[in-house]
Amino acid sequence: MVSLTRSGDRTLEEKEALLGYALIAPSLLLIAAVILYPVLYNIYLSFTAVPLSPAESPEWIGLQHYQDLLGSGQFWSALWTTVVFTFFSTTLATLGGLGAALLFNRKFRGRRFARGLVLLPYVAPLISIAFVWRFMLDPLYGIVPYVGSDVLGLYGGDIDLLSNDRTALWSVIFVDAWRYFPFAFLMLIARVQAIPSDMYEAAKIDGASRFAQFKDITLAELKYILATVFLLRWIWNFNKFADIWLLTRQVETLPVYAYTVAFANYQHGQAAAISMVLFLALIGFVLVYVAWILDW
Amino acid sequence: MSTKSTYRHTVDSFKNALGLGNQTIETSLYERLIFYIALGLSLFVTLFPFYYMTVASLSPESSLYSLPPTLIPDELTLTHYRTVFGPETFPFLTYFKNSFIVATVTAGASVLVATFGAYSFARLDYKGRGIFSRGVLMVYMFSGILLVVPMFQVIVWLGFVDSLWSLFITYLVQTLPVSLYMLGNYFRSIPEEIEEAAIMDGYSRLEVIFKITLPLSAPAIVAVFFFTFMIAWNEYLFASIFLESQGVYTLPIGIEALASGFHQVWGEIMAASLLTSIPLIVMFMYLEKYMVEGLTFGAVEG
Amino acid sequence: MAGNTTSDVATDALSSDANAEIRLEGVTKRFGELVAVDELELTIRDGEFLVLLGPSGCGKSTTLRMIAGLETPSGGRISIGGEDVTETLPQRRELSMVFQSYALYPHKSVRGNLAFPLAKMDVENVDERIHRTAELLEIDDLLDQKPGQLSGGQRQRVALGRTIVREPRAFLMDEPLSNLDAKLRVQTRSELRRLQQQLGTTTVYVTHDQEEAMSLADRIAVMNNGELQQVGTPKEVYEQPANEFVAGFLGEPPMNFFAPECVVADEPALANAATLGIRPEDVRVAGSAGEPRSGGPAVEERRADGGDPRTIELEGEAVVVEPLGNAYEIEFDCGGDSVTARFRQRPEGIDPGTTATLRFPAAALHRFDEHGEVIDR
Repeated sequence: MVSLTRSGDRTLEEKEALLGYALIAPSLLLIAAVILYPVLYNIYLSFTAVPLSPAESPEWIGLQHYQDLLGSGQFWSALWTTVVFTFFSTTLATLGGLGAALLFNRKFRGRRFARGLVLLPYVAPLISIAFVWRFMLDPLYGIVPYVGSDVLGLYGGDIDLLSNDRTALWSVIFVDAWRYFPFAFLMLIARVQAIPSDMYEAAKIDGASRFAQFKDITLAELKYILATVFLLRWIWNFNKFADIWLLTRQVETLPVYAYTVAFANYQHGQAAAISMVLFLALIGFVLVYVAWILDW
Repeated sequence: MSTKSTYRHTVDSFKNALGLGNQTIETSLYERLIFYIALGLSLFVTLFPFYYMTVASLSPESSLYSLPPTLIPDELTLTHYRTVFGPETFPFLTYFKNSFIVATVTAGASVLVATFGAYSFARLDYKGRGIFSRGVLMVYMFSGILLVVPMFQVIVWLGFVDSLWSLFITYLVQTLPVSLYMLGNYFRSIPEEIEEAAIMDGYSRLEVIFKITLPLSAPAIVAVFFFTFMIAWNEYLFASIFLESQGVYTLPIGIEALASGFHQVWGEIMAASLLTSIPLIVMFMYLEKYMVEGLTFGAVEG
Repeated sequence: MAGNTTSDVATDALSSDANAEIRLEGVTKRFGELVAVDELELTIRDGEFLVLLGPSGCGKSTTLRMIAGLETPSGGRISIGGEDVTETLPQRRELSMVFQSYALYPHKSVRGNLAFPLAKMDVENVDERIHRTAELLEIDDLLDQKPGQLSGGQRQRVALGRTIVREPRAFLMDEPLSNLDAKLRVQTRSELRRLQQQLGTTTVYVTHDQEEAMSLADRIAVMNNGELQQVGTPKEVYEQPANEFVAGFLGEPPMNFFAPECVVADEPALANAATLGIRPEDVRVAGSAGEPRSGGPAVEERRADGGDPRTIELEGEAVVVEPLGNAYEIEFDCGGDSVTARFRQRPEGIDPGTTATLRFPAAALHRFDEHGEVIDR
């Protein structure tokens, strides 16, 4: 019964599909050219020695870079630093966000405005954040060393918190957590406010303590969103480069390592291999996390 | 994608919950005291660096480099701002202009390209749509550091080194996923019947997009513009390797150069940092209610 | 030109003159595995008000959307005024549509909403047309407001206005009254009917509300599971349902169905029926004051036509007695089948638990075969 009197015009569905392809084409082409192609090219580069002169083409050397990495102490140390940085900055940011979300769950005068203010660290430009913290942590005139060392006597003397081997990583972790806790806050407050208040009332009637209410209602309700926030922050922190680089050159995570190898030592092939390992490590972590923790 | 629906849910319940919760929890004075102390501390930790940045940018050298650090300045001065805007020490205005050009052009182009793409994802039906739209979200997981080496090669090959074009292209594509995601969600929230009504009224799809969908999407378009602007305004990694001469430096590179080129210029750096922050903070304060979705998508992560 | 009976200048000018008979031939729509509309054969006459009636998911909205052009049929042919439009784009069909949500353009004023379809047409007297339409619908004082400022009823009028103003070949309406409250719905319903009669424009109207269908339609097309069940005037589909579905879907409370074995007297004439049906208003209680002298007018007609003059009797035990204000509904249990009867006055001596003899004229009885199709008398 299909009509045979097609007028040559396309049907609505055909026209819509054609328009659909036409409208998405620029996005897809751009993404293919500026993201997918470089990612694939990066894989290729990681198996080559890239000459300094762009006129010469890369020379295939197989797994050489990867073998070098596995045998390099600097690489393993960078990987370890990455994991420590990521774990603690992610945990701190998530907990900070949770705390802020619970605080803001309560109504108070000016809550809306205060919420906007809490988001500022996340919204302000990275360069400003990095430098104000560098100033505040400055060993000579910074306010943090002054309060921490001179007033409170928490640590002795003239340690430069951002340059000292033992403190640089922790300083960076703290600043990173400070900058990114608003993300966790934003993700969590929605869920916190969505917990029906009659759950708490029922618990109160049953005589549950504040802590029991928190553990059995709040945390139970927030379990999945907390796990999601942690995962997202983990992914982003694992890849963080500029936040660390602008604060100090003393903390060498894998992204920083790859950057210096590529643009200080000009070993692009080696750097490509580092970023590949970084990527694979991240994928591995995400898969394990998703399978075991999130239980998807 | 279940993370996607988590986002959606989060955003929705966020919007619903705001200002509407009428839970009246009776609390003791003691509890209220604890609450306000905690709130005050949180706000202090959050905002102190911004306060300090402002104070330092307005303080004379003498109080900047003395102990104990000045919290409430005795006298305010605009010296640092004069230096920043003056041509002698460093060309802040050039950096500002470069950043502004790159960010505006990127944001404009990203909105344009993404509007069409997002409409395609949201409303039109064709083979491969699901794969494309999921693929775009997956692309978001590729970090800058994974792309920086091959992109450098590509930019060299294109001859865009030391030109703002290199940043424009890179930022445009890096912001596409978030733009597509935010606009797509917004388009889906417009009732399809309104567009069908316009089609019945004699308009073609493209006309419907321009005459109905886009006018109705103004808030989302403004929010997407702001986000892409912000990403381009903030970006350091690619700018640091693509740009070589001062004339094309963007703000992050310029301020970094200032900091590493001179010693004890904290006043100027704080002034420049504050000036760099102001456009974003002002835009954010105006657009906050449209921003939540983009922020929860991690739009500002590098 | 059918239906254009009024001499009202305004409506005369707004009515269309082209023949707008809509013909669907073997129209089928599949969404993947799902057959939403199956081999639909239906002709909507020029100037007619046709209601597509059926439960949700029956394919009525899909049918309307195929006429509109918003969906392309998987098979079959649609023509309007003799012109094949099966694959014509919706914007070229010169039809206009009222949506359930009204789908007004929120960023345009009422005037802008009305002007929007006209901007696409080659007409000169845009302002005049807008004003004429606005006056007709009594929304002329709302022209500068935005849809967000209007009440539900006003929005509904603007939506109607937007369809009328462009003088389309036909109006398509997808449950346009379902978002109004009950009182306003009844009022708007009669206005809509009057308007359509004035304009004489072919109208296809989708609803799941049988009362709405009955009061609006020239003819009703009842659909179920993507298939057309029956087309006819409201009277025809109510009094002579073509099958069990139509019989059961129309009427409130719905028709009673029961097995022929329930009938007390041995009636050989009923033996070939698989199911029997009787409308609640045709059931009486033997020997009760509530018993009318005859059945409804339709039954009278059928008797006069030489229909079955006999009376059928059932034994039933009253289960529920429900006073409705202007009537009583009593549910009886007749050998496992439930039979509801509707009385104007409460029959004496009937309480839950009482057994009674139910009685009705054989002419009022509907007989269905094992496929649910009606058996002709």
